[in-house]
Amino acid sequence: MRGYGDVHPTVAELRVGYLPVMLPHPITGELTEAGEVLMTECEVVATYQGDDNKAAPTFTLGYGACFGHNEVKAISMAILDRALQKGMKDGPENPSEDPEFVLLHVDGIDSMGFASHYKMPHYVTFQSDMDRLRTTQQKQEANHE
Amino acid sequence: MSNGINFAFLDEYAKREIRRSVLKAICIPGYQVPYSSREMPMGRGFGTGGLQLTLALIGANDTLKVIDQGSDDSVNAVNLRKFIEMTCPGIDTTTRLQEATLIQSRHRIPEQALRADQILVLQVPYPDALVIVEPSEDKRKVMHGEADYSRLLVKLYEDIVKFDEITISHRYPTRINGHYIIDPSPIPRYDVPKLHNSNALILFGAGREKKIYAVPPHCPAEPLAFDDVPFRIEDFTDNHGERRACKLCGSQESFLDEFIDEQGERVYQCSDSDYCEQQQELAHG
Ligand SMILES: [Zn+2]
Repeated sequence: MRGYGDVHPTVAELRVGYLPVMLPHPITGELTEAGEVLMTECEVVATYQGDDNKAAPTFTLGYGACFGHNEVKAISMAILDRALQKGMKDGPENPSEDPEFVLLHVDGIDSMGFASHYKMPHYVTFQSDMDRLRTTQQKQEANHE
Repeated sequence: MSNGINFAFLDEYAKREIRRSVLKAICIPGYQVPYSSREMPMGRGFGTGGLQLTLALIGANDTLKVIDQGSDDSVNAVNLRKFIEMTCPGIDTTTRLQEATLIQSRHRIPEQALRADQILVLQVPYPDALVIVEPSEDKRKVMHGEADYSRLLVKLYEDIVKFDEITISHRYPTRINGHYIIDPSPIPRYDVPKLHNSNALILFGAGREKKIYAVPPHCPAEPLAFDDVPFRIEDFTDNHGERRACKLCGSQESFLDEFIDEQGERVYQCSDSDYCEQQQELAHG
């Protein structure tokens, strides 16, 4: 969207429902239904992809699934999945096609963990910043005189 | 342990993996060894990389010191120390550098020289010095392998052209053993020379970025500079050209914190609280 990895998908499937949670039985080891969980699932079809080797063009798919009733999140995941697949195939041309960019910045724990770290004390590094700031300011002033 | 938690929290497989990564890091000084970086019961960015190193290395006979910004009482240091004490029964903790066998630190290397029987663990937010010139880790890995640091040198050069100074204040790029350039963690430039030919093993742990690297003992560590523009540490001289002193211990040799006191006066004080206390003890006999 907006030129940073153009995918306008056609939503092929978008559904919300309960899925069984299967766990191995503690004694028999057999998969047993332990409960159910609300999920949203989405599959998108995006514009066809040609191939430099003259292979027949095809539509491409993207898939997303998340907990709870959250359609926008599932659609977004499906679009990113499609964008990342293109990036893996042809090399990323946009941030949305770069797995390193998307996976490390979209993940809740990874991204939030670092933003919350900014509330820790930083007075040593700030002192060091002040030293650089004062020195460069002094030099600029001296140059203007 | 009676509550079902393994000694030092991590399971033995996790510790073994970290120790193997440490060995590799020591064998290839400055190389960032990837490791699995377990989830810890605290947020990424709060020292989980340093913590995992400490937990993988600590034994019941160790004496631990934990500091943040040079202080044993800083919030991050207190929390980490409490957690390690809780999960490592039998260890001792100390604030005295000389008593410690294992030191975990954020943003500082202690003022006083480390000994060969000590290990320093530094918490690392950004492990890769090349990140300021190249966002893709794939490409950075190739650059490190080829020791291609030209873009980093260009960045320093551009600084000099623009500001007549290298503007990197902390996390100063440092070449280890003549090859790999590391991000030495957010220590001030003042601490960078302590990496060079250190008596102690210095380990770096980046939990969020899942990397471990090392500056082994007696290993060359040179901050990046030019022949005609030398590397410079923070300047603590006042307007009269005198080195500022700590208002508590009077030291004119330590890295100082600057702040405004309750009277509105600008004052300076040692960042390393243990060093400052020891200097005060010396002064008072
Ligand atoms: Zn002092």
